Amino acid sequence: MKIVVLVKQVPAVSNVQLDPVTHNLVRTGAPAMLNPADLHAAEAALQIKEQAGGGTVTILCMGSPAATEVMRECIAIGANDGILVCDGGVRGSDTLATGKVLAKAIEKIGGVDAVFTGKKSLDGDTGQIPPAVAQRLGMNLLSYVESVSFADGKLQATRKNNSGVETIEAPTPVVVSVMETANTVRTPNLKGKMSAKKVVFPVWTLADINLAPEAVGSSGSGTKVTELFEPPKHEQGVIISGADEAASIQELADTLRSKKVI
Amino acid sequence: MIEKNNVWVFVELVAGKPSQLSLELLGKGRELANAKNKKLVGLLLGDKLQEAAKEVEGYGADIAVCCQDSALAAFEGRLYTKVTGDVLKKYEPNVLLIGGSANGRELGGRLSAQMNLGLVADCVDCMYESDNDDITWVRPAYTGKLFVKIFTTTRPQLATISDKIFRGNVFDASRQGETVVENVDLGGLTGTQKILSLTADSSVEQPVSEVNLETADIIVSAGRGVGSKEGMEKVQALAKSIGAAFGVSKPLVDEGWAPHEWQVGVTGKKVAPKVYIALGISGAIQHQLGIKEAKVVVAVNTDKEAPIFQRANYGIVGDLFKAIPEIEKQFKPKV
Repeated sequence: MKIVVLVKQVPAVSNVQLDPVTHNLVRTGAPAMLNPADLHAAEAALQIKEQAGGGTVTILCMGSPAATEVMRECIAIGANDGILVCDGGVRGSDTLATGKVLAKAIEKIGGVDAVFTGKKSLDGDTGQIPPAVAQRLGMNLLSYVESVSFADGKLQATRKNNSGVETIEAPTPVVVSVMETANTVRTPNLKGKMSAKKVVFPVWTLADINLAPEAVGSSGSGTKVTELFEPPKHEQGVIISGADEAASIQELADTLRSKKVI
Repeated sequence: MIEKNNVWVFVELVAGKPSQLSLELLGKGRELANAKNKKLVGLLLGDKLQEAAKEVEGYGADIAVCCQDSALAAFEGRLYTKVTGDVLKKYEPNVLLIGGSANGRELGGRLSAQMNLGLVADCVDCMYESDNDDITWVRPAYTGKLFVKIFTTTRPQLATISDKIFRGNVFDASRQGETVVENVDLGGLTGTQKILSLTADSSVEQPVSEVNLETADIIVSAGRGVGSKEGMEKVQALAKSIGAAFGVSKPLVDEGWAPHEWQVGVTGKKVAPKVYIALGISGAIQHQLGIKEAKVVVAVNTDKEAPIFQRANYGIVGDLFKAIPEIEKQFKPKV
């Protein structure tokens, strides 16, 4: 079983800074961490590999050289290796452009049976990468899974959907997006910690995955953030102080009727 | 004949009927279509669509486009994307609204990749702000501290929409719409996914015979201030007598007085009534987030420092039990 886990380095949320002009996240200098759901995706991938009786788990990350730190966390719990896609050209990519990069990199890895990733990233918060990658690779998608297991060449997952709790089955190759509640992540052992320390990740550029710079970054994106604003404040409430509760309710009802609320 | 540049809504079916979220989108879609003098088109995929199409028209669509095939009976991303993509290429809508359910998000992400379209996730508002056909999408960002406005630079404009944001239209059985049946070409794709089981989720299902919290115009909710299960039942009786849905805050569920199905809040139900009457609810932030989309919040509480008064449009500092008889009198529907 050949599995790729997509991970992302995200800013620690409480320290988010925004560029006032581009409205993009200012990543330089902000404390960063592994996107929490992605670690659970790595754990799920390791479990599936074990259930399949062997294979490899490769961590794939698009990001800056600093992102290798979060990739090491996945190596520590047992992932075999990892690849960093790093190229100045991807700056400003939305999910449309990012999906192209990740799908191309997975194609280059080749022969992948399953792609695992977190249900969404903390910073972008869209959850659009799993279906985008699945579509580009022609794979099924099991999204927002609460549990996942492998038997007879198929993955079985449970998830909430608008009509209830579903158990779905899909054959490989398949993309799986994992909830944070899906599993408990194992503690790194000594061997894992050693591997995480000394692992060297190959770095791929856009040229390595056959993508033209204009296909990604802001020119390859389909959305444009134009404005950031504060949440609308609720209009200041009023306290109704009638002679007693009944009088206050009566006054309230009159007001609501005059405003045609009731 | 369907013109280009209309407003389209993807109508997700649950057990053969449009989902609650789809009805909310038809409500918003109607507004967008009216703003630009365009038609509202509902897009349906499934195996039997005739009845659902009528419903979609009754809920505000001018046209229901039906893609009918036994392979589309259950949602499967690759197939739904192929069929939807073909329809979008043929009719070139200005915009397609998709509900932010698990399936809707999958469809959105796949369409974006398949057709190279920009896609905005989990919008909480959208509008035409200028003379051109650009939609301004609004979504929360950075854990809800801020909102962003986003444009999609590609056509059709594509976004998924959060639930409980928009109100659907009232069903009008006499509304006449046009049903257009499309030829479905799966392009050789076959379904490989299988739903092995589907159990009703207790946090989704509503006990029968209760007024549905998710669609109610008025909700009366009880909090810790009721003091006892008997106290809670008085509030419940009030809700019933004025035809309102009944909800509770988390402490009453924790006490075992009420089932989780009745809980309003982030770990319970998010609600969007016209009027939310909070009786004896202090208004923890989790509860307030659950009533974020309520139009008018009324709170009765003996504690004038209760946080609910920060959120309430109208607050009454007093005893909820003394308020109940007058609420019953004032809010009872006139017959």
